[in-house]
Formats: sequence, structure tokens, C-alpha cells
Amino acid sequence: MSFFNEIASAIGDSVRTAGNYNIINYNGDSIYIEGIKRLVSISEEKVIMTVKKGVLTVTGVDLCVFDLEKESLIIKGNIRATYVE
Amino acid sequence: MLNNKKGKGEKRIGRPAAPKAKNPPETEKPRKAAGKADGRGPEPADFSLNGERLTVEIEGVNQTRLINRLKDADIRLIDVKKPGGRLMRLTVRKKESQKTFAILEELCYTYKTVRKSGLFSFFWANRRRAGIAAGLAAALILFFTLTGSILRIEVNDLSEISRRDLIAALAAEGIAAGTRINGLDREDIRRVVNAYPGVAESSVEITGSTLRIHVIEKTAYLPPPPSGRSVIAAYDAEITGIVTASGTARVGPGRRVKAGDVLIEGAVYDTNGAFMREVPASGTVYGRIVKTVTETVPLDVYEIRRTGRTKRRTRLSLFGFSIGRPTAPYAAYESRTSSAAMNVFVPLTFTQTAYFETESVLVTRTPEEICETMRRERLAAFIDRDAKNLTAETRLEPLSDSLIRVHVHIQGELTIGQTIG
Repeated sequence: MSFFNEIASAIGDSVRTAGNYNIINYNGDSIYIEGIKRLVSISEEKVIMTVKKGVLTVTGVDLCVFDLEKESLIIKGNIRATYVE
Repeated sequence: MLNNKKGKGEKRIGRPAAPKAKNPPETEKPRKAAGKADGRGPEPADFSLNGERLTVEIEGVNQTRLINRLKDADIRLIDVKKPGGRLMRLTVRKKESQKTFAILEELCYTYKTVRKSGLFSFFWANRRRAGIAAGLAAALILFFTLTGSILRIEVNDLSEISRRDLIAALAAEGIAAGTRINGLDREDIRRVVNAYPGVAESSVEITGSTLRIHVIEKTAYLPPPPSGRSVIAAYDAEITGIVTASGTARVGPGRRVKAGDVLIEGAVYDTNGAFMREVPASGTVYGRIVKTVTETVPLDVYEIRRTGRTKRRTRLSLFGFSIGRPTAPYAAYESRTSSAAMNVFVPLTFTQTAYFETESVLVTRTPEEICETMRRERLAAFIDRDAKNLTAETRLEPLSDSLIRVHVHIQGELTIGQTIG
């Protein structure tokens, strides 16, 4: 079981939360996102990606996709906001 | 490196044709091997412990599609940056580079490798500096090897023992320059040194890469030289008798001695000749001397005689300052000075100088007078020597009208001992 699934189980809403997306923001300097499907747009001010249910947008300054794997990525930079539409 | 694959009549089965880049390059550039820059030499390589990686610069549009394609191909993308416009840079692991280049070529992107990182890439790119690196590595190895070994052996406080022989003896025991320090035991070294002939005691210390040994040598016992009084011969003589009151007689009757020879030593020895103690030497030593004294004298001499006239001068001194500087009243004089201090109210010193006028008087002597004078003078030198049958004869040798040489021949028996110390 993944770390996030363990937390979800602890929360008690594993059906809804598990398997979707998970975000960890490290002091606003970097952000780890798990559960992405596709990248939509990359720029230094905005990174847009699709998740299972929605479109996840990360805004900030000097953004850089530091590490991108199949379903996870790390974005570095001055993270301003993260929201899902 | 530029790469642009044109598919002339080429079809891909089961897959739609890959869209061409919107702004293809105006001129087709020759395709170069992946990973190589366009003729400008090898790419720079960074030292990294994160494995071998390549940084690829990609030119084209719809870069997110490329990213998704690479991601779907399980290619890990690292440090994706968009410097601006149609350029994008990303880093991939070297083992995934061929797959990446294949996808880039398939999607007709223009790409080139701009940088490498990793241990092998770094050293391969700097292989021309291998000599310097090898020399540096050798120097480091030598440094770390030698700093842990003895480079120098110092042996101090040696006087009788040969330093070279002692070091050779240490080397025979495995203690020499080049020996590892952590394999040495100071106590063992000290035992080896103490076992060397002539060594009484030693101390060992290791400072840095220097082994220092301080040695105390064994010394043979030597009796201290007699420091008490001794009686020596004042003249060349033949010993006629010796009476030793204290000390040890070193001469006997009939022995010929020279001036300075020890007649009675200020020490006492046992019957085996071993030194016992010091004593002040004393005694009487008689000897027969035969001595000739030669002197060259002029017949005319100037004698300094007082004329009879005298003057006195007095000077006062107060707090170191003198009042009245006496000047000599005569051109030639003899003087006698006396002083007296009077500390009544102030420290006052009186200094009185008496001046006796003198004159040089030419005195002409006859040779006989000179000889007689010298004879008496030479005999007077032995007046306290308990002389017996001491005689002095003179012989005259004229040298010129005003110069003669007088030989005074003295012989007789007298005491010749002279105490020193």
C-alpha cells in the first residue's frame, strides 16, 4: 500500500481519495504531484496537467519540471497556488 | 546535433503519420550521430554521482505532446526547462537516451545533446588531462604513504659513539627510514638503543615523520685532575734534595727538571697508585742551577732625576663637579696625588697633587760598572732562595763604541720550588 493510501485509510475515505491525485508542497519551493495523467502546458509561470477527475494547475514563478515519471512529477520554483478545476 | 528524418513515401503501419514540425528548418542540415554537437567539439561534461545523464535541447512546438509521449514510454524526464520560444531542454538518463532519440526522430523534432553528466562522462571528456590527474593522484598516494612513515632519524648527544653505527644497528632491528610509524613502539626502540655498547640510557620520541633519540653515553671513570696546590720548578735545575711536607713528590735527587715541571703534586695516592684525595702540596726542593743571562746594554743612558723643585696643586670636587683644574707646572715631572673627603654640610673632596720636576741626565758608564751592576742584580734575584755557594760571573762582549753585551753566568745550589694553585 502506498504512503498516500495509508493516510487515506487512516482518514477513512479510501474509496474517494485513493487512486486520484495527491500533492505535497515542500515549503512552497517544490511540489510533488502523484496521479497525473497527461501534461497540458508547461511554462515558467504555470504548469497544467490532467488528473483522473479534473485539470490540476500549479502557478508560480520560475517553475521547472524537475522530475517527471509516468504518473508523478516534481515541480520546483516559487509555488504560488495549486488548484483543480 | 541536428536530426530531421524525412519519410519519403514511407508509411507506418497501424499508426498515423507523425505530424511535421510547423516551422521546419529552412535548410536541411546533415544528420549527425545522436549525442554529438554540431561540429563544435565534445559536449561539456559535469561531475555527478547521480549516474550518467544527457541534457538534450529540443526545438519544436507542441512540446507537451512530446513530454507526454516520453512519459508514456517510461522515460524519466529530469529538469525540464523552457528557455523560451520553441526551445526546451530536458535531461534523460543515458540508458534511456536511445529511446528518447528514437521518439524525437519519430516526432520529427530537432534536437541536440548539449551536456553530459556523470563520472564516466566527466573523466572521458577530460581524458587529455589524464597525465595531470595521474600525477596528482600519484602525489596524493605518495603523500599519504610517506606521512605515515619515518623519513628522518635524529640521534642527539653523541660524543664517543658513532652515529652511523648506531643507526645501522637500528636498521638491523627493522627501525629505519621508511618504516611505518604505526608499526613502531617507542619502548622497543629504547630497548634496542640501550642495548648498544656504550649507551647508558636513552629516550625516544616521534615527532611528525622524524624519529628523535636522545642518548646518554657511558663514560669511563677518570680521576679528577689535582686541583690543589702543587710545587713546580722555578728554574732549570738538577735536583739535589727534596723534602716533602704535604703531597706526593714527583722527582728525586739527580733528576734534571725544567722550569714548570711539577716537583710535588697536591694529591695522595694509595700503594696501588690509585688516587685517594687532594691535598695542598708543600715542601722544599733543592737543586743546582746553571743559568746564563745575557743582556745588551748601551754605555750611555739617560736617567730621570729630580731637580729638587716641587709645586702643589689642589682641586675641589662638589657633587662630581671639579673646581680648579690643575695644570702641570713642569714640562717633565713626577707626580703624587692624594685626596681627602669632607662631608660636613655638602660632599666636598679635596685632591692635592704634588709635582716634582725631573730632568734627563746623560750618564756614561764604564763596561766594568755595567757588568758589576748586572751581577749584583742577578744575584739579588735569588736572595730568598736559601742559596748555597751561589756565584755569578760576567763576560763582556763589546758590540760597538756605545753598546756592549753582558753575559752573566750564575751557578749554585738553591731552593727551586715554586708553589702554584
